[in-house]
Amino acid sequence: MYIKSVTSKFYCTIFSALLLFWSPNSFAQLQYNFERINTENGLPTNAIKGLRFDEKTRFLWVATESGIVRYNGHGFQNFGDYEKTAALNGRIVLFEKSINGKLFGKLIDERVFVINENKAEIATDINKLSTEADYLSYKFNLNSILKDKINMDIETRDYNIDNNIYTKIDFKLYKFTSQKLEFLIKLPSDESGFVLNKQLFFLRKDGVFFKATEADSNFKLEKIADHGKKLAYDAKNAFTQIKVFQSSSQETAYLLASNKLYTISYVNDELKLHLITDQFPTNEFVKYVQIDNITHTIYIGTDNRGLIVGRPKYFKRVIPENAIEGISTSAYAQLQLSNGNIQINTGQIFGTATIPTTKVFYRKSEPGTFISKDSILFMTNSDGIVAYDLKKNKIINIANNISYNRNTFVEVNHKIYSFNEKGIAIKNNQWDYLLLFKKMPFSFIVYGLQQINENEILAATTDGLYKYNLKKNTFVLFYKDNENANFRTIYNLNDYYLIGTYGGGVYMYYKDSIKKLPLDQNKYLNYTHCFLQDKNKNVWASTNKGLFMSPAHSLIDFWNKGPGNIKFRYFGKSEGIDELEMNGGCTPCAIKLQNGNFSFPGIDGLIQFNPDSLPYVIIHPKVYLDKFLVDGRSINTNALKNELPSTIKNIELQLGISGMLSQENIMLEYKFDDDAWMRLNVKSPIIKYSNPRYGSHKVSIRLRNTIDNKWVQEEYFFIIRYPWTLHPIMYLVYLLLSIGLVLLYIRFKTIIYQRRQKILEQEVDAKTATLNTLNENLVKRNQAKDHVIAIMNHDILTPLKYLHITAKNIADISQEQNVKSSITQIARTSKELEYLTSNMLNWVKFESVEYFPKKQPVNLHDLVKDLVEFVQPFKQNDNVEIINNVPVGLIIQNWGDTLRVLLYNLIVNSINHTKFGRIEIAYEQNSIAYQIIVKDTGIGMNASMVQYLLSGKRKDELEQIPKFKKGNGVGFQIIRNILQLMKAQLTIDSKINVGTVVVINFDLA
Amino acid sequence: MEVKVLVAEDHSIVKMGLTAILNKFKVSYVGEANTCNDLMTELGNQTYTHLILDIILPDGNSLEYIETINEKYPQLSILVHSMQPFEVYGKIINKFNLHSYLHKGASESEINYHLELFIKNQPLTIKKGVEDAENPFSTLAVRELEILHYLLNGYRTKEIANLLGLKMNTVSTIKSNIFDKVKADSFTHLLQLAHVHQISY
Repeated sequence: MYIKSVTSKFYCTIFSALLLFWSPNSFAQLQYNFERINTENGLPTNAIKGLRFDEKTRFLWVATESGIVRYNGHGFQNFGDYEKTAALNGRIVLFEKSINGKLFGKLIDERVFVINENKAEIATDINKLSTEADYLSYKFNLNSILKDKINMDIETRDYNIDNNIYTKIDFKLYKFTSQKLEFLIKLPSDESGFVLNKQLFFLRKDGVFFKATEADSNFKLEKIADHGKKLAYDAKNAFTQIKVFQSSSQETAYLLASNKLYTISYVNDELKLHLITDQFPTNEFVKYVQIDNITHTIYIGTDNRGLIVGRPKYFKRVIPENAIEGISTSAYAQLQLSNGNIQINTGQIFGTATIPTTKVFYRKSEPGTFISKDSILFMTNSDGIVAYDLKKNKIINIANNISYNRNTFVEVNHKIYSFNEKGIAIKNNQWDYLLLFKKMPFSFIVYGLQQINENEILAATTDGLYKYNLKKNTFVLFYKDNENANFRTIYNLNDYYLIGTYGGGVYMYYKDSIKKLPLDQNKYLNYTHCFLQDKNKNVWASTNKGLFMSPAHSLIDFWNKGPGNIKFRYFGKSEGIDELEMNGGCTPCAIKLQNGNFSFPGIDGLIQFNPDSLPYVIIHPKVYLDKFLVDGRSINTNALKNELPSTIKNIELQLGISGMLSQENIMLEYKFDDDAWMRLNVKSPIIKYSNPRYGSHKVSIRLRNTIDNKWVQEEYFFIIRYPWTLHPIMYLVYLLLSIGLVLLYIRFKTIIYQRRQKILEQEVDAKTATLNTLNENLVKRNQAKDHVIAIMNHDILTPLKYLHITAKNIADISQEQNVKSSITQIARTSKELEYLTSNMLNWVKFESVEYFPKKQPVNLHDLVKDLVEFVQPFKQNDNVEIINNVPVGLIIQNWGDTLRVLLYNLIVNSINHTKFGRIEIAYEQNSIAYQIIVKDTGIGMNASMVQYLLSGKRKDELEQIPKFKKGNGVGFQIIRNILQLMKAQLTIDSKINVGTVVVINFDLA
Repeated sequence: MEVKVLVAEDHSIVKMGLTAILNKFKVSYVGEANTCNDLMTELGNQTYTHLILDIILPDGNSLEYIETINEKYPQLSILVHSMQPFEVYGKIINKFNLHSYLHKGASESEINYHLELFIKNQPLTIKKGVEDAENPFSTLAVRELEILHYLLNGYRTKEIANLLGLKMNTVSTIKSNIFDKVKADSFTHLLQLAHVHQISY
């Protein structure tokens, strides 16, 4: 709730330099804004039970029926959040300052709380304050024990004069002695007592002051002379109070009488009243008054309506005296008239001067106006561009040949230029366009112009910053804001140009470069309207949320040294601006009045002030650690040196910011360990960390008044215990465990491998033994086989040969035909057996050897001759003729025995299938091979039989059973094997009933 | 001159067949010996003009006796008739001054012709070109062939040394030489090679 000042009059003279030299007990009357702060603003209850402004910490402590709370100018902090401190949210009976300066209070349960810098805590040095004696002993730090058990008065008032303690109980005044309370005098009514210059006074509620005197042990009250002020008293109005407020006997006494608040002084045996304000809220049951002697802020505690804060009002809002129909009070381009009033482009008059004067804006004009160096005002209205001579107070020219929607003017070399949405014109006798824009965005407006060098004009437009080159007659876009914000105003600051935008912040232009200034923490500067520099080289800027003031050198430092810490000061409601929204987009924007005041156009009237009269006291805010929460649980900040558990997940630091400054004027930053500084919102100064690392940590917090670049830094340390699992010794344990596990694993695997190896070795041994046995058997068998072969060679083949020879010789000499025939048969059979055995022997030998012996010279003719002689007896009849056509003496490289076996088998095969005709053995040779041919005129074979003989497949594997097959096929099987070993090829050409030609082909190589 | 032929052969049918052939050549007497021991006894009992000798006899290798026979019966003409390859054992002709070497695998006509020349004490023209220079056993000396015989029959070094009255080192050296010459890397290999090259034992 906002209570507007009672008075509507504002006298500029009141803003005087007197403010600069302020004395706590002596200050001129100020205009005040009073703001009520109650439960809607965070106060726990509107019933105030005590009020103390701590000038040391600059906190306001408010005792209420719902506990003690702390106020820092923009928020309350209570202290009864937790079970142990819940009593601090209870009803408070009294709230006092002890003789040693400690603020303390008594709770409804008679327990005591004390204020320790930024915190309220239950007192540990005393249990309860039950009696008046307890109270006085505690407050005045008395060692003696008062025996009187007088109950405390709820409205206890006590006075200290040279360590003589007086107390007022039930309309009676007592004096404290070492052992008792000595009754002094009965008071006629509930007088307010106060002490000035070691003199005790009482004020009766009708405004009469009494002085307490003591002579010869007679204590009496003497009415004192009139102080010269008429104190308004209305006995019928309970709220019309005449009351004195004095927090302690050493502090300033204030007198409240109706809407006036005075300080009381006692000089030369005279009481004097000094008016502080005559705008004190009336109709309030005021119980406590505190004044901040630096800012002159008045804090008022009411009985049941909460807190009222009165702030000096340095800014005046000027609104029109007389409304004009259809025209709002919103202000834009200003012109100060000769009578001191201000007329704006709409024609509206702001000000209270009654002296008649000519109205310059005779009809509603566009907000782009301009006053040339020869005092000609240019404006645009429905008549056209109007030139008004301010010296002669008359219109000297009206031109309507160019656009009159909106023109913005600039003067260069005594020439007036106009920029509008169509182009750029120059004032000659008429207005002549120098340049017509080819294409501009819709609603293109030129808001501000500034000559930046001899040939260039910088133009702030809705489409960005443009440059107009006078020589080249070019209008070129120079810079466009990322957010397409409108550029509204350009202000020359020693060749640095401040450029305000609507939504894009503030830019600075210097020598063809442009930079963006950092925004304030609330981004009020996003919408900046007007700039104006005062004589102290401070630049003022208006925004939609109040005014900013920054030293010019600070802004120029920004350009040369980077953002750094730009100094600025914000003026808002706390500084007495009751309507924060300013206007812009007009020329001129802010103006300096003839009396030195600044006038800024606002959404509802003009905001005027004297920049030279503002108090520039720099208050350094302080930061306190209110609460340190670990996983939601509050930790005593004094116990932070103890290690915190390693399991914590969240840490929260709740800060208390003192100083009674607007939050906009406090810059608060923090960092965790060596991280970068982070900006923190002053409204909610809470730092949160999740999952902090183990070990020692430091939280650094710094803050400063924005107008001062001196940071005040606080550091808080805490330690998060390393979990035992991360203790350095545990790393050694882990290492040992790891090594142990690895060794165990290796040992385990080794055992497994050893077992497997053992089993494998056993298996290998067993297998080896088996294989050795098998091998031995095989060797033995092989040897046995070889031995058998040797035996066959020596003991069978040779005997058979000689059996044949013997039988043949016997047959030759035998005369007996039967015997001869039998012996002849024996001779044949033995020969046949010899060949068969030789066949088998060779076959077995060939099958069993790993390599074949080398070829030897063989007399093929003789070999065939022997065979022919031998097989003659096997012929089926004498109709078969066996012919050896191999050339006599032919020697070939071959295997004699093997070849003999081969040819024997082929010839015998032919004999078996030839009943008549001839069997011919021949030899042919070409350059690469030779052939041995066995040709017969036998019964021949079909293709199946030939295939069978060549491939060796079983009968049942052939498509049809070969016909004309005789024998078991062993002969050809031997032939095939021998041929394979000899690397020879066999071909059979056979025709049934015609004969068969078998060709064996040997390579000559 | 009366021709008396002693056939030292362990196969009776071979002896019978040889006798039948020899009878064609007016041989007055054909004696028989089955073993080396019989051979030496029979030579002592009668005077023979010709000896047909098989190398491998049941009680040993007859080659061991040839030098003794030559010394005792210098007039005795000896023909070795064996299944052992000529290219391997043919060298004994010169070594022991034999008449000839008749392989048992020869053809019947060849046998007849060979024996006829032998009985008639006519020299035999040895056909060139039938020798197998590639046969590894052909590189073995006579003494090595003697040792080979025992090796192939499974005798150990010590036994061979005792049987032949040689030192073990000598036998070992000869044995090593045999393996080197025939390029055998084991006894089994030696047996296999002997088998391939038709070395009887």
